[in-house]
Amino acid sequence: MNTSRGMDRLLIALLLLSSGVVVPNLLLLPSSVVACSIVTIVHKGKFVTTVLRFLTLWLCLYLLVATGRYISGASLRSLVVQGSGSLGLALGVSFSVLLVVTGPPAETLQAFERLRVPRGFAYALLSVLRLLPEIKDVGSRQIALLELKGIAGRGFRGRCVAYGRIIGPLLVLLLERQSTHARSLEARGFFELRRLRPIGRGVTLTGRGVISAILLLLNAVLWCWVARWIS
Amino acid sequence: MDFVGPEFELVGARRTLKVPVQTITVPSVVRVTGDDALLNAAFALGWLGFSQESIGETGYCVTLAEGRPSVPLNLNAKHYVGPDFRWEVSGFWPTVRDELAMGDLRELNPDHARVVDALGITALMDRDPRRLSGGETAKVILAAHLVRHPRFLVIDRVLDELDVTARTRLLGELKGLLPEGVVLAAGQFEETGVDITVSTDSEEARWTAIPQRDVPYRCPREPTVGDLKLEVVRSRDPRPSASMRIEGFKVLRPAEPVFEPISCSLAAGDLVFVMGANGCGKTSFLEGMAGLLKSQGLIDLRTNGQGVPPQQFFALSPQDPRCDITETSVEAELLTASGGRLVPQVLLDELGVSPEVMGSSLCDDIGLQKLISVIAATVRGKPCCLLDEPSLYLTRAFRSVTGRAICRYLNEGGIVFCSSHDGDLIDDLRKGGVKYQSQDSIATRGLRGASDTPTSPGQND
Repeated sequence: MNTSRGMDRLLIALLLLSSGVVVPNLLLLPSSVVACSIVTIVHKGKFVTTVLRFLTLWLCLYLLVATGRYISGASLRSLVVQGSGSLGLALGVSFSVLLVVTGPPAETLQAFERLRVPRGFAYALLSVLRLLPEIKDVGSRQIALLELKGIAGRGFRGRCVAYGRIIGPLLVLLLERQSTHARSLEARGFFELRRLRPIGRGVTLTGRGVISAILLLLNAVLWCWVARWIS
Repeated sequence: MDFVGPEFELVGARRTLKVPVQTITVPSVVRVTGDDALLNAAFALGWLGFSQESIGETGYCVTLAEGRPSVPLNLNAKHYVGPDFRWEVSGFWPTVRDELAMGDLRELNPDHARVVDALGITALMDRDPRRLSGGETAKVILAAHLVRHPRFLVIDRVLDELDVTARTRLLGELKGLLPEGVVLAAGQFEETGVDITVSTDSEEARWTAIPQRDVPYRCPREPTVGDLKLEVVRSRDPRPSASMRIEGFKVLRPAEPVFEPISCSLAAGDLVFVMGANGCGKTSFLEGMAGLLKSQGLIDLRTNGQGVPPQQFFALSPQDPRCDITETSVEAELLTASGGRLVPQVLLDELGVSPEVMGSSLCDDIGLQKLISVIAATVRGKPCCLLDEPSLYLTRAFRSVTGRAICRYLNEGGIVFCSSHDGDLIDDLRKGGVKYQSQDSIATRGLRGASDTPTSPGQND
């Protein structure tokens, strides 16, 4: 396991979260696409997959935030055109989440530990972030078994009915799973293991991490400057 | 050193069990048997002084005898491994080695190596723990607990997952691995390596000392490590209603074949035992046939001479029943399984499913879930049943119900594929009224690098 790579990932997530807050709303999408390109090119990732995942996450988060604001009295126009600050946050959060979720969790966990984040907190955060892939895995197996039983129909409607049928058992299953997992880690002494050395003593970022961090900073500054120039 | 257990009473909706004071020598391996699996688990947890909260999950309430204090135990010294052991795999660590060390950068020490050797998982150390078979995962999780040297360890029905050789070897070495520990193991395994058996079937727990046997347990049917064996038992009265032909069949997981190609032809009423050590590909074989995994080769399925797709031909009862159960009550699950038709009372009486079982909740008891998953597969009206370890997690009473359900299905002209480590179930099916004409074996080599449990002396006698 490479702790430095986990550290890279956390730094990049932090930068993306900050740039989501500082870059003006109207320029967030182009700035995020450039940020996606930087991260995927420097870290040799798959560009299309990263962008698609990012857009899906962003859409879900933005819809959630916007619905909340709409219910609390914000106008539709202000949400779509001005964004009222929520767009930036949604973009930053979604990109950061994506970055942490897609990397090996062990590296991220160790990086958190080097930053003196308590083990229990880091574990809880990563568990929440990994819930989506787990729901997908367990859900698709349940759907496949329903199809074999002849209960789940084909096509979009059949899938919707099948998901409606499994949603209750699926949630119960995931809750039990998390509780078993936490109990096991506690019994095995996970939260009492010897602490790793904190950051600054022999632990560094990788070259790729440094390059992408500098490029992301420049990207944020550039888009802030463009916004000032336009206005 | 001796351990004095507390005097207490377990009270549940169906049963009450009194547990007297009992002193045992440390180290010891205690086997807990009885027809109520949840009561067995509650007994083990209560006796070792687990909290009321843990025991409450089994549906039982513990009441300590007046004047007797609770067992003073350090919480971290007590470990419980139950039927949901698969969920103990964290998913954080990329290899089994990291899973055992839990990301601690220390190398595994010689003491760890002894546990790894006893469980026969040396070959698995660099594999992804999320990609292991059920039995291999059980071994890894048991190792993960054993390397922490618990003073008290409850193994609730997990040993049933292990192949016979691995189980016998582990039971023989448990006391050496935990020289200051007490192990309470619930399940239907044999008594080799066990010091004391405690039965929960009567009103008061009964303790029996077991004399140590030097003769290793013999399982002549289980093939050698890594091999997958199909034992085909031909019906004396084959019917033309259903038939299947497999040629060059292999399962790819994810892109590499799990075992070498298999070919066979079967007719209605035939019974196939899928056998082999943990990790040889039994589950992959069954799930590949059902179309849940990618496979190659020809599978020709026919009912009354007409070709049919796998969805119409196979009913599957998976190894872990929790993914299969979507309803909360037994009645609703059987209704769903049989396509909305009520399962006739005559049939339920014939199988021995009591009204009490029919009215039970499916939420907590994995044994009941497994039983209903198997019965549901046999009443679905499909020509072929794929049963992945149908006797897993079951008590004696539930095992006989399962046996009757399978025999009834075979006698009605169904084809059954049944994977099992359990020699008793195989014998039960033979005695269950199914008439056989002949028997032949098809063996193939597993290609996935199964766990390295060596063949014990006498195994293949």
